[in-house]
Amino acid sequence: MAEQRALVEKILAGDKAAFKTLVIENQRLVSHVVFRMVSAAPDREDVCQEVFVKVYQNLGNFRFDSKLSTWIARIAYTTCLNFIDKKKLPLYDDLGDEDKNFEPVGDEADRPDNRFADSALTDILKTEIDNIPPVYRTIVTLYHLDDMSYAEIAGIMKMPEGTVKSYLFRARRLLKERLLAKYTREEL
Amino acid sequence: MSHLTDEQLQAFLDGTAADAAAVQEHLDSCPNCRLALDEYKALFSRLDSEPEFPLSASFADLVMEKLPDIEFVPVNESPLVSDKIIMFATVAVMIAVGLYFLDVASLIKPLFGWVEAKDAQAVQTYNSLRQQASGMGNLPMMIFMTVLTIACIAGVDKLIKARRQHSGFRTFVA
Repeated sequence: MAEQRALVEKILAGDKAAFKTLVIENQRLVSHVVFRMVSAAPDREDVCQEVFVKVYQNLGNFRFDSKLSTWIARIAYTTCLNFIDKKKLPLYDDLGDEDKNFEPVGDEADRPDNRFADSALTDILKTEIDNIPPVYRTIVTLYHLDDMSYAEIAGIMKMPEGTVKSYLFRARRLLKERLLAKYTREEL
Repeated sequence: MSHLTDEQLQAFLDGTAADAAAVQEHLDSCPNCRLALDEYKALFSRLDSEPEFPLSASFADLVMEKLPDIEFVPVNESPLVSDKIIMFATVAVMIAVGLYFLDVASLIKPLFGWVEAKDAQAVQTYNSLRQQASGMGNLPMMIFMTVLTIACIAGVDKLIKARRQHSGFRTFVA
């Protein structure tokens, strides 16, 4: 926290190079939120840039009542919400029966060749993650790739911890079911 | 024997299961649930090692080019007038206005009305206060009121500024 405070103070004192450090340190987290929330690939990097411009403009308002990264992720999330709202894209596609987009591969012959199974499975997992609603996949990514707690994610997404947990559990159950329909337990 | 639910298995792997000992005990004796747990373990392992999302190598430089030319100016957050003084000034103005323009006796009287004997005391209090206020004369009273009004305005101004000064900095766009 002391390092973050020193970095912010440098930026507020006019040190733009310090802000570049902040960008480099947090671009991974921002990309996780934006790439999960924004489906259109050409827009993603622009949205990431917009997030950091907003971070810069609002840095004077940061009061250190949370981690700097959590605050930045929160800005990333709200920027994505605004983007989605502007584009009139669905945010909470109901998972419904939880397999409406799901085309099971029932035939053993359709299973991927074992030699390519691992990379194919990674690709399929990526595809399946992309098939669940943006909020769900963002929660999955923040939890697993950024090692964030339910509470931190709840703070970023401004939703109750219980809701975060529920969405995370539903998303993972769905992913597991979809992967197991295409791969054996051993391949997984 | 009923099996563990998906929620119980996931919470167990997350380390957030409230009944972890009971879950472990069940897992020790249930091959089906152990298999289900292994499936989640494999999924979690893959989710933990998802490929990163590619941002361009010059991403940070592109952001730097887009930054607006702004200046962060520290704001003096210590108020010129303390809250206590504002409260005092406000109360003083209310009392002064009350003494000067209102029939305070009629306001005070009901307060003491529940005890008949207090009536005389209420009237006496009012007369005494009114006498002191009148003794000041019009000019001093006007000066007094003016000072109190200015104090009130300063107080209100300070409260408004305090709301605006949420942060310790103001941002100026060049």
